[in-house]
Amino acid sequence: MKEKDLSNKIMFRSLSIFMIHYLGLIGMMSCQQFNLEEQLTDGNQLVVNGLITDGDGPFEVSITRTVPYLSSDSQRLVTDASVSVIDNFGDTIPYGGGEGGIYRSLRPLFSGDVGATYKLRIVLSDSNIYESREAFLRPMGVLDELKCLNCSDTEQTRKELTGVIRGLEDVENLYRWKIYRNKRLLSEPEDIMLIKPRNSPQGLTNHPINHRTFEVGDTIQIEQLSLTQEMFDFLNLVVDQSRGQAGSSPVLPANAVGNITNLNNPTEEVLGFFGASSIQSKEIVISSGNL
Amino acid sequence: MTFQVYDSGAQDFMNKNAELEKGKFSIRYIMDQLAASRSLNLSFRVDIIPTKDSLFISGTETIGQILDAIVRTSPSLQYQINENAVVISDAPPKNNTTKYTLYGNVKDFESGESLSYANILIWKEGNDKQLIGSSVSNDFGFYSITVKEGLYSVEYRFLGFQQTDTLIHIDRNSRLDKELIPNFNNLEPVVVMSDDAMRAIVYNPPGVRKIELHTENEVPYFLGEKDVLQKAMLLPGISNVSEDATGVNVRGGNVDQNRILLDNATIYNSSHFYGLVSVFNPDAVKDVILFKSGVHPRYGGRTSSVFVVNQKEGNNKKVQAKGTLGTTFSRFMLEGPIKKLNSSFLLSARGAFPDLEYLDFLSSIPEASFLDINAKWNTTLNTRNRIYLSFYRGRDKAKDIQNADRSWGNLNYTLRWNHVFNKRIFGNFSFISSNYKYNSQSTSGLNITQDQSRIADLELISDFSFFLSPESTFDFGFQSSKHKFIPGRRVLIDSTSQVNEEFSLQNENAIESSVYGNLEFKYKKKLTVRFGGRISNFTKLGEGKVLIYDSLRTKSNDTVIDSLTRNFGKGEIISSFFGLEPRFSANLQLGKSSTLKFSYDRHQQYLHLISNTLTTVPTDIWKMSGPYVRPSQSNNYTLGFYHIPEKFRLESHFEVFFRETSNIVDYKNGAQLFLNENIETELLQGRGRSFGMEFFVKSNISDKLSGWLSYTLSRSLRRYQGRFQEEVINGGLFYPSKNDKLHDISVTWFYKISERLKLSGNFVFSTGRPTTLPSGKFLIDGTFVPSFSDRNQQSLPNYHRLDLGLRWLPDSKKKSVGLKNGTWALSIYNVYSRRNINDYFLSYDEQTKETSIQEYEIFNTIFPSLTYSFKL
Repeated sequence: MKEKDLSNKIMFRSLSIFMIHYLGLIGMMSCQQFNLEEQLTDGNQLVVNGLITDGDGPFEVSITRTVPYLSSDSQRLVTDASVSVIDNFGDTIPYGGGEGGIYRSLRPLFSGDVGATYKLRIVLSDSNIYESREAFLRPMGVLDELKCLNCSDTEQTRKELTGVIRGLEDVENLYRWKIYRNKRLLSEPEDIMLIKPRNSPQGLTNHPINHRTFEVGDTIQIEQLSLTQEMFDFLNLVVDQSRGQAGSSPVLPANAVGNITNLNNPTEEVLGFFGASSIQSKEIVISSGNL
Repeated sequence: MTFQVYDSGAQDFMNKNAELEKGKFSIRYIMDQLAASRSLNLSFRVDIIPTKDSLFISGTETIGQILDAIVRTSPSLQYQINENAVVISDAPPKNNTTKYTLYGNVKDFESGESLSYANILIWKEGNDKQLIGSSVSNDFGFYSITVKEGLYSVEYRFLGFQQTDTLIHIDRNSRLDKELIPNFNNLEPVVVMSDDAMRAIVYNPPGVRKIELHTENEVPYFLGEKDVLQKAMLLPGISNVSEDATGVNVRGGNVDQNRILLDNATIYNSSHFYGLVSVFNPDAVKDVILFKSGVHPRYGGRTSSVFVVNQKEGNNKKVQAKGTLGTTFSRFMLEGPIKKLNSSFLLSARGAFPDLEYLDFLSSIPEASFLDINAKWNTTLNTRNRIYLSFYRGRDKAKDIQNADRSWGNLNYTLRWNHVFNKRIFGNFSFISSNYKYNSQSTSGLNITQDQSRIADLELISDFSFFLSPESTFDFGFQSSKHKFIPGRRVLIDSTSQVNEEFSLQNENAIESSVYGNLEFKYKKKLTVRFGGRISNFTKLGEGKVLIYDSLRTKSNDTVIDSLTRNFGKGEIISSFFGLEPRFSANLQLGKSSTLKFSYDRHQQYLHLISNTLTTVPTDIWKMSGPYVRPSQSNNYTLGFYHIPEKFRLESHFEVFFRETSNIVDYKNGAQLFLNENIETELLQGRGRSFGMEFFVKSNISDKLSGWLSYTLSRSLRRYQGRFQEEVINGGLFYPSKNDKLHDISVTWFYKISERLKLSGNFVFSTGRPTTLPSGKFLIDGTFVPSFSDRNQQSLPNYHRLDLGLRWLPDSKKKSVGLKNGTWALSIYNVYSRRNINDYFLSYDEQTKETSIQEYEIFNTIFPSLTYSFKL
């Protein structure tokens, strides 16, 4: 019995010594300085954005790369790409430029046709070729008018706007509004206004601009773009991701991957979207009295 | 039976009254009295009469009854009758193989509460005292042991109670209810080397542990509130993703993979205060059994673990009241007999002070309060039948950071009927109602709306225990549940807008049924084997609409083929699944102090929690398995080595585990889950893999110092490799789940400064868990958009924290009852003000209109609390 006790004692002591050393080692490892920035290694992903409309050109495609999240830079430009757009008839529209990462259509008087499809093609200097899926230029209902909701109320200095849309019948109407205040595009995430009008019996939908108010004297222009479901989903994703994850129902993290693929490496995630839209715009000058 | 010989003429005097006086007398005295009687000619040898045996005489017994009682009390005697003469002589040696059953209930002497999982050991009396067998009382304190006729010593053991030995001659089936006396002198915080604790450790399958509540007061808890789940997290293999996360993660599993039962009713949300405190009122809880592996086939429906929480029944001997006043919580419990020794009640309430300015620093719960009510009633109809009715209602209220008023809570009823069919078959029948609901009222545009979600389950359970022999028990039964989920609907409370925002997601209905069986047997007292299984079925029923998606593309709103949408009528079968769940475990005793254990369990899970936040919150909804969500299935393997050296006041164990789970639910990147009509378009199902080792040592280091250490080294991985790009996460390779913590250590200790003053402490450490953060950013139309590398590729800083507790006990020489004779407990949470980061999240700044990475801290300061507990 005594021998057994002794062996138990030795085992217990050995185990204790081992655990003390082991846990001490873990403790030392845990004392390493935690550096979040080191973990955020940017993948230098390609970002492509472009749009063709049935309005006046020239049309732009921007090509950039992501920058580290904690960096003070806003973007890394890609200036040496070869860019073109091919329509459903095989006609190629060349793009040129590249300063500031912006490429513009070179064909004068070119504009998109409703019902046509367009495909973006980019060749980078490293010989990687990128192509978008075909973007369909959808027709659009009418942006009937812009109305100021409280312009007659002189006590209210902040003025609210609403737009009246007459949607197309028998198709799903998906639109984006771009808002320009005094000719400047408003670029906060809320300003990417995505609209699914639900027509009233009269075929009209009031869509208020809830997130902004305006001042007397402002010139407000709304640009309405028709969207495909794919583009609508992409822009929704952009809005969701750019608004963070706080709140009771946040979206999960995701990359804003659109419709562009690297033909040499299809697993590469290319951010951004190339789309085609019908376009209309309406303008209103806010004054105390215009309703 | 004792050998007896009758002749026919003897019946006359055998039926005559023995005319003995009332009282308790020795056998020898009684025989002398009978011998002196004129009506009986009795002869015996004085030297064969046992001197210690005695009998109680009521005065009404016949001579025959007295003689029978004598030979039953003194089995070494027999009597023979010849006409009017009775000769008492030595009984010949017997070789009787007839078996009889000893059965009954084990109870607490103080309160009359049944004691579940008490150990009953039966020893054969004689020159060579021999352990014949053992049994463990079931959830209702019932036990049964079948042995050959003979003289036995029966030991009843239960942790915290005095051991009780009973000498009994078993010559017929006998009921023996036993009341155990609480061992007030044995309330040391850690009683490592008590035989009963040791036996439980040796007996249980690996991964099964009773959470000892009687030591609870000693551990420093958050806000000073005794908490079952906080205590569980001091054991190896159990953790949580955040201090405020609802529920716990067992061996790397998700929160929804734990089945939490309160008196058999499912608790869908086990926490108050968004996860800071569990819903279990410690005053109302009798015991908690945790199954990390080796899960009894009676329990199923989740792939990770089972927590069985049993409520107290109520004192059936005297009325008692208990209360605790705290800086944040208060609770009060009243229990007592309705009819003494026959029926009792328990009523308990707990609440947090409504004005929680004390918790203002918790930005996640700007205003919060909760209330719990537990009630139980039971009555013993007769020796075979007992009925229990229990009730639990919990309700939380809080404002979220968007100023929405939220309320949520569980509502459970359980009606149970215990029936002893015969000495070897015990039955329990339960009818259970489990409900969970939440409301969130907010202002949306010009409307005031309320989002509602609700779960309503009705369940019927029949459990049977068949005690075959001291070595073997067969448990079997069946269960059937009706689930109804109302996942979400928005109702209009007040509106000045013409836009009607009311809508409702599709309700879900299902029937879940199962049958199970489990045979447990011991071989040569060294090997205990349990094998059995469970067959389950889950049938999802209409009314409902099932969308059909284009099979060549990932499921999304765009890929619905409208023309193929199927509508199912009420009660029509939408989908049905079967599950075969084998369970096996074996314990092999290696010498006196070591046990090797192995278990294999398979579990099938038909209900899945859909969580739209980084940590689980009360507003998350549950989703049933159906056409697009397959049931999850896990295979769990555990191998454990348990060592309890007799002389070193030490208990230690080492376990390795491996779990593979199929069809584990996660979400597509960018999933939007809140009030999503077609939630299946956002779900992914893939594989989960957890493996690791757990080490636990518990010791009485000295008379004053004791404690335990838990260490877990483990990984928890996931893999999603669907058919389409959107269904592939991290390239289809295994990646760490959000529950992955490589090292998880906790040390708990107790130090007795004096008889009245006790100090305790916890230190916890864990490596930071994975999270997903943006690695890059880019601009679209002037808006910054974050870009991410793979999922869960970043990690949080390591977590550590020290808590201390100080208890001032009443003077043990005085009566510990009365408002003035209570216990003061000071708890200090996060003693060195560690700023633990529970998560990072992307916050949107309204000023800069950009996102930034924010640290999510729950406690960034020392957090003291004071409670005063009393008994009346």
